[in-house]
Parts: sequence; structure tokens; C-alpha cells
Amino acid sequence: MTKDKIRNFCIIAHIDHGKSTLADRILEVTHSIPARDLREQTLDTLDIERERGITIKAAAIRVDYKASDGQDYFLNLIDTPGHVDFSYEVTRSLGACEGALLLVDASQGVQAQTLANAYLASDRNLEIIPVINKIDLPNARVDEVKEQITEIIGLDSEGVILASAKNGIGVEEILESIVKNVPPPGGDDDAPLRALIFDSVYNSFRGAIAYVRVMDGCIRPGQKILSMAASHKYEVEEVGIFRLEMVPVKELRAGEVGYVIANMKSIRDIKIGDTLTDEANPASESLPGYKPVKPMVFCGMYPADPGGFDVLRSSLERLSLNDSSFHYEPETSSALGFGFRCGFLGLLHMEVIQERLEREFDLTLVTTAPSVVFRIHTTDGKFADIENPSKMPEPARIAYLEEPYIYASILTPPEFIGAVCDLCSSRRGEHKRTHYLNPQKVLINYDLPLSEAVMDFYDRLKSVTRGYASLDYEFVGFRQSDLVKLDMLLNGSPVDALSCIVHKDKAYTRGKQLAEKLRKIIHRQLFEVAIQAAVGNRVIARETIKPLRKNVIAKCYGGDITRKRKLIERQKEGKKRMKQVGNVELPQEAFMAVFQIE
Amino acid sequence: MTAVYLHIPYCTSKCPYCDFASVPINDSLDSYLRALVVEAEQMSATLSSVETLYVGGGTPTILSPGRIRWLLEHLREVLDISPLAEITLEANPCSLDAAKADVLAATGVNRVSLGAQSFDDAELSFLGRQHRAVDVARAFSLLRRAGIENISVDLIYAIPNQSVESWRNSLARAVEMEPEHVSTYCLTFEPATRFLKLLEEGKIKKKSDEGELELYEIALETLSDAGYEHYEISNFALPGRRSRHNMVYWSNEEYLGLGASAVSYLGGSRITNLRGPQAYIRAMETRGDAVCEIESIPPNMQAIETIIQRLRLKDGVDSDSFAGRFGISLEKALGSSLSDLTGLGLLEWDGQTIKSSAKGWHLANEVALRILP
Ligand SMILES: Nc1nc2c(ncn2[C@@H]2O[C@H](COP(=O)(O)OP(=O)(O)O)[C@@H](O)[C@H]2O)c(=O)[nH]1
Ligand code: SF4
Repeated sequence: MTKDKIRNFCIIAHIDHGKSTLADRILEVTHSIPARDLREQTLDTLDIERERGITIKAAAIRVDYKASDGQDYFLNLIDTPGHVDFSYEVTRSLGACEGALLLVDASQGVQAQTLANAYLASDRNLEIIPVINKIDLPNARVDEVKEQITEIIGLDSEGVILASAKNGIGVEEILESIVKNVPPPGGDDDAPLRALIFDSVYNSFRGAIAYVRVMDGCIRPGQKILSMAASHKYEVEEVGIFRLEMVPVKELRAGEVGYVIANMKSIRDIKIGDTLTDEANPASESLPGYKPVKPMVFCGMYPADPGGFDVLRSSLERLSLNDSSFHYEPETSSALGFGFRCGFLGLLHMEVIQERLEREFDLTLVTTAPSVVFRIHTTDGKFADIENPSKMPEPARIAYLEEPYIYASILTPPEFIGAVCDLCSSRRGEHKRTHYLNPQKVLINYDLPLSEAVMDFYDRLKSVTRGYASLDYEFVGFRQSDLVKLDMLLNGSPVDALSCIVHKDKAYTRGKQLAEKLRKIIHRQLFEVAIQAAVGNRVIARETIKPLRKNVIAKCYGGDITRKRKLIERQKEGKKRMKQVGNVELPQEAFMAVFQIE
Repeated sequence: MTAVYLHIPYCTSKCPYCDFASVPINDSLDSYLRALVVEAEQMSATLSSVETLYVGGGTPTILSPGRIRWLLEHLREVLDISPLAEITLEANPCSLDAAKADVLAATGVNRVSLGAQSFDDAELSFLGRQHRAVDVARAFSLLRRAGIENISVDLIYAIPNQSVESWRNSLARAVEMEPEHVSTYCLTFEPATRFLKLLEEGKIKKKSDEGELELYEIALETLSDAGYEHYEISNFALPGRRSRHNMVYWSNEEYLGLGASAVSYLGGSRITNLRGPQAYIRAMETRGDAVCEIESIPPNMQAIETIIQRLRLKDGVDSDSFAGRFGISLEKALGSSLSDLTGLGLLEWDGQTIKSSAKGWHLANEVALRILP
């Protein structure tokens, strides 16, 4: 197959605009999948992703297509993750393509991630084919959305395809447009090998598998290869292409998309964005854009039942086999016992992992409120990144602190500008720009501390804009900030799992809110419980829970004895799920309280 | 010692706080009474002489004088009721008249538990009761006139909006009548009652724990000043006038329950009858018993339940009689919870008896939580 019969493309869209549905239709129309195998949204493999409508792992598939010009083409569809937490992975997937379908929901129009993804694609000089999806919807506003595509994204309205992925409308037209408009891959078969790793999976039989796009040269079994950023050396065992299953081939040449199996033990060995080259004849330069991804959001995860530690560990191990952006390491909390500090790319990533643990592994977890990485500069001129507020060094040793910032892009109808700006400034945001993209859409940019954005920012944004605003963000680095550690004390002893790092100006309000919240959550005990919020040695808020003085069954006669005993046995069960901190019993939701206050 | 409970599951209307098995009075009544007597006869073979008989409800005084007589006479025929037995019947002030009071005395009822609940008419109507404060005094004197020498008065406290004054007044009015026994029950919001629904809808407000305790303390003070012994969490008696029947429950001893929803505790099992009167009648007529559940209580649980029940009593648990009954020492049965609970000031242990402390009495569930395995 010559290069001019290959087309590598991906679908980019705001979440829920129909990417997975369209991918399925493409597979169906090209007969890549026997109809009976075609479950809803084949490319999303995990239940939870299907349920939440999020594609987490990028996947790829090669379909055959006979175009109207009578020629046979190979189309490689590279799926991209649909959420802002995974924007690095999106970028890498785009790097494997020459073209992108930009899918826009006909009722919702252009959203923040539509814009962000479109910019990413045009930065990479991809050919963008705009598609308006869901035209079957009664509230489809095709003309308005077309206008947005030209005015906001700057694409020619001529090429816009109208589609309904659900009803199979426009799919042929899309495929024709890919063949006609997306350029075939370039690259030199005879140059030294350069293959971009854009994804990886773990297979229990085959080990870690790298998904690659060959840019130059050729890769085949037996070849000795080198990963340029990670500098690992491997011998290729097998290369192949993606059908519904992986199909081995003799070689992958420049322009092709496929997989590489070498003796890579874990997906941690495989860095997304890294370049594979030939060990004996290496390329002089790696492909651009590799950067290590680091988890930015952390939380502690503890088994609700202390006996569950081993199960939790093996579950985390299994999850991390297939998700290299998820990190975990053991930690011990005096309040919660043995557990793990887990790192995620973002909040959604965290939620997905938590849910998966509870569902797939049948675990009940106590999770601490999410926090971000803080960079601590000590008086000796060194710095360290800490992931756990309780690991903060002595105040005397701290020179200054930095916290991670994001550059948030919020797309909203103009009537909510005030609400959005109020929200952002209450979150210590620094206004950057307000840009009218057209009369209906305003793009607002803020620099925001990440720690403020993990505090239910997204939910608040949705609620103050009645669901109309959408959000995209990228990390912009660390900035110095006036941060303090806020401790919560129960009867005088600090509860490590409840500590958090907050901006100095907010410590008082947060401390007060937290103390109030804990007062509501903690049940009365047999003695008085004092709740204090403290910064250093200074107590800034205090609440007390009066002791329980009455818990008795007024009437207990012959017919009541069994029933009342069962009632008390149920109370006892509830008590077992509490966490004992000193002599105080804390319900599990207390550990999330830090997160859920507003 | 044999204790028998008999349930009359009929009322004129349903009180909004009540979760007892009771239905509006209807024509199943006579078949029900016949079924009761059949059940009593069947069980009689296993019984020794009956020392306490308790007719509860529902509203036993809803029965006509003739039916009360019929029932008690037939019970005497089929059961071996000791001449010294305590025979209690629950009476509702508004369904008690002179004729009924006389029948009770004539048929050997020697103790009446009078459901006064309150002496405040607004509270009574809030509680859905048909009677008014004057009816209580009237019923009480009818009983005395008929010759009932042992009368208990039930009162309810912590009624939403109940004031300290009205509670003091109810207690004073009760004491004035000089009953032998007083029960004071804290109003509770039981599942599937109208009050619980209203509470959840925010239409009525439950008193705070502190508010409840304040009223409780007032009862303690008033009643002990009047010479009543506070012998169980909610019960007070003049010397020698404790409820012998209820003492059986609180000591976790055996008893036989007859009628719809009645529970028996026999041979280490708790046996519950069908709840609905119709279902009970049908079951008695067709298969000759009305059992719907049998729970075998393992010996260690019997011991634990006994401790929990006995701790409701001022007397607490005596280590010798406990060891004699269960073949295991009290300390062993309690394990480490004993020192935990004495440490928390909920129990008092002098090497011979374990008792609830004043604090522990209000926290009986917390004690039970820590004692249960
Ligand atoms: N009415 C209508 N609904 C669609 C269409 N395409 C997708 N959907 C629905 O939109 C939702 C999101 O689709 P999905 O493919 O999961 O979106 P993704 O998040 O971009 O992958 C699903 O409920 C789909 O059934 C369409 O053309 N018309
Ligand atoms: S009279 Fe007694 S048994 Fe009948 S409904 Fe009222 S409280 Fe319940």
C-alpha cells in the first residue's frame, strides 16, 4: 500500500458532542465490524467510560474504505480522550495524524474544548474538517453553529458537513471528505526510524504494548530499538496494525499507524510522546513535544475496613497497569491508618479512578479531600514538591511556597460574564482577557490557582451559568503564594488527614466553615468534643459538640426485645464504619468535608 | 413462674404516634376472641400455673362488659391461673364505664394500667387521643370504686410544644390520684407512623435531647418526692407495686404471648405470631397456630440480652444469679466491655452487682452497643 492511500485522522470534540458515536458509525459503514459485534461505542472499552460518556484511553483502528473515486484507502482512526484532564494525551494523538474531524453539537454549539482542541489541531497544521453533529435534534441550530465555526474558529463554512452520528446521516460524506481533504502522510521510508508513541496499553499475556505512528523509516520484528527520552533499549518482538483485534504485520513503514510489542514490562517504561528509533542507526533528533506528565491532584485513599489494605494495594496495582498517569504510594495517617497517596492528572481522573476501584474491585474507600502539589522552598535554598499537606516542614525552615496555576478558558454566553468573573475572583483568579468571539459567545481567561479549581470549581461554574459555560485549562507552572497550613484539631490533637494548605487570606473563613461542617457531621460522643481550626499555634475557629446524654429506648416489653436488639446491632454496624481519631469517632464523610464546603 | 400476655388488636382510631399492632374495631372481633381462647388452650399443656396475666392492646376496654367477662372466664377455664396471679388489663379512659370497671373487678382483674398520657387537653388531641383530662380522673375513680387496688397511670412526655409547666401539671394531677404505679414514656417517632412522616416533612418538631432530659428529671424529682421508686428506665412504683409481669421481660425470663403480633419467649426461642388480626384468625382456624417467625437465641446471646434487659432495672444484674442461670460469670460474659463501661461512667460494678449509673441509664443503647458482640 502506498502512502497516498493512507489517511490518518482523529475526531476532536467537546465532551458529549458525539465522538464515540461517530466512531462507531464509521466502523459500521466501512464494515470493519460485523454488525452483531458492534456494541454501543466500541472504542470505549470500559463500562464506566461508557456510562459516563468519557473516552479515557485513546485507541486506534484501521478501516478499509472504497471511495467514490473507485480507489481503496486505509483510514486510521485515532481516538482521543475527551476530557480536559487528558489534554496532553490529546496533543500526542494529534501528532499521529494529518487531519482531524472537529465535531460540534448542533444544539450546544462551540464549547471550550471545541475551541481548545481546534487550536491544538491547527497549531499542528492538521487539516480540520468541521462536522455539525446531532442535526436530528429538534433544537439543532445548524445555521448559528455554522456561523460560530466560521467566526470563532475561523474555518470556511463551505466544508462544514451536517451529520447525525446517531442516525447515520453524513457519514459517507465525512469519509469522502477525509479521503479528499486530509493529506496522505509524508515521511521517508529510508531515513532512520522515528516512531511517535501516542498511547500504550497493558495486556496480561503480551505485557506493555506501545501504540505508534511511524514518521520516518521502518520498524520490524527483530530490530533493536531505543526510546529517545526514556533511553530504554528493546528488541522488537512483533509489530502490527489495529483491526478490531491486533493483527501482526511484517513491518510498519513511514506514515503507518500500529502497535509495537517489545520486551517492555510495564507501561511506565513507555512514555507517551516519546520517540522510538533504531539503536544502530538512530535519528539525530527526536520528534517534538515530549514532556513528562506529572500528576497534579492528589488524595489519600484508605480502605474503609482496615482489613482491606491488601485488596486496595492489588487493585491499585492492577489499575495502574493500564494507566500510566495514575500514581500511588503507600502512606500512613494517624487518623486513617494504612493507605495510599494517589496522584491524578486532574479531578475527573481522580473521580473516575475512585469509582472504578469501588465498582470493579468492590472496595469501600475513605478518600481525603483532594489537594495539589505545593513547591516548598526551604531556607537552605533547596526546594521540594509535597503532595500531602501533612508533610509540610516546620514553618521556620520554609523560605516561601509556590503553588501550581492553571490558565482557564471559559466560554460563556455574555449574560454570565459577571457571574463567571465573580466566581473566578472569589477563587483568587487573576483576570487575563475577556474576548467576544461573536455576539453569543465570550471567551474569558483567568489564571487560577489549581488548588482553587479542585474545590468544586467546575460544579460552581456550571451552576452560576445555568449549565451554559464550558471550561478548558492548561497548567502554566508554579507561582509564589502566601500559603499557610490549616490544621483541624479534635480535642486538642490534630487530625492529619484533615489538614489542608490554603491561602492566608482564606484561612480564617475556611477554618470556620470546616469547623462548622465537622460539627454537623460528627455525631455526639459520650464526652464533649472540641473542634478547632488552627494555623500554626493560633486557633482561628472553634466549635463544640455537646456530649451525647440520651440514647435509650423508652419502652421495652416482651414484643420489643428482638426488634430493639436488631436496632442496636445496626447502630453498632454503623459505628464500625467510623474512623477512630484519638477517642473521637469520625464518620467517613468528614474526610471529604474539606472539599465540599462553599 | 409463668407469664402470659394477651393482645387485643382493636382501637377506635389510630393514634399518630402508635406503632402497635392495632386496627379499627370490626366484626372480626368475636372470631378473634374465640381464636385467642383456642390458642391459650393449645399452649396450656406446656404451662405451669400462671402467675401474671397481662391483657394489652390495642384497647382491651373496647370490648363490651359481656365480652370481657366471656374472655376472662374462658381463659380461666383453659389456663391454670394461680389465685395469687397479677392480672393486668390496659384501660383507655374514654372506653371505660362503671359496668366495665365492675366486670373487671368481678372477673379477677386486680391491676389496671390506665392510658392517661397527659392532663392537658391540647396535648391529648395533638396525640390523637379521644379522651380529655376529666375522663382520666373519672375513669380512675370508677376503677377505685369497683375495687381495683392496683392502678398504673401512663404518661407521655416530650410532646412537641409541651411546656415544662404542662408536664409538671400532668405529673401533679397523676400523683394527686395516688396511683400505685406510674410509667412515663418519652415520645418516640417510630417507623411507619404519621408522626414520623410529619417530623420528616418538618411539620412537627422533636424536642432536643436536653429538652427531653429536662422533662425526665422533673418526673424523677416529682415522683420520688411523692414516694415512688424509680425502678426501671420509664417506670415508677410505690413499695411492693412494681409490675410483676413486666419484671419478667426486664429479667429476660420466659413468657407466653397470645394473639395477633404477640411474642413468646420459650425454651430459648422468640416466637412471633402473625401481625394482622384477620391473618391471625385465619391461621388459627386453618392450621391451628399463627406463628410467623421463630428466632432461636444462642446461649451466649441469651446471656447478653439478659444483661442488657436487666440494666434497664435499678437493681441491675446480680453476679450470683447470673452465673447460676447461665453457667458463666458475669465478668466473663462482658469481657473487656465491663471495664470500658465503668471507665466511661456508664456502669457501676461493686464485685457483686452491675448497675447502670444515672448517666448510663439515659445511655442504655450506648451501653448495649458496647456489650453486644
Ligand atoms: N440526537 C443525537 N444524539 C447523539 C448523536 N450523536 C451522539 N449522540 C448522543 O450524545 C451523547 C454523547 O455521545 P458520545 O458519542 O458518547 O459523545 P463523546 O463524549 O463525544 O464520545 C450520547 O448520549 C449519544 O447517544 C446524534 O447525532 N444525535
Ligand atoms: S389507643 Fe393505644 S394501641 Fe390504639 S392506636 Fe392509640 S396508642 Fe395505639
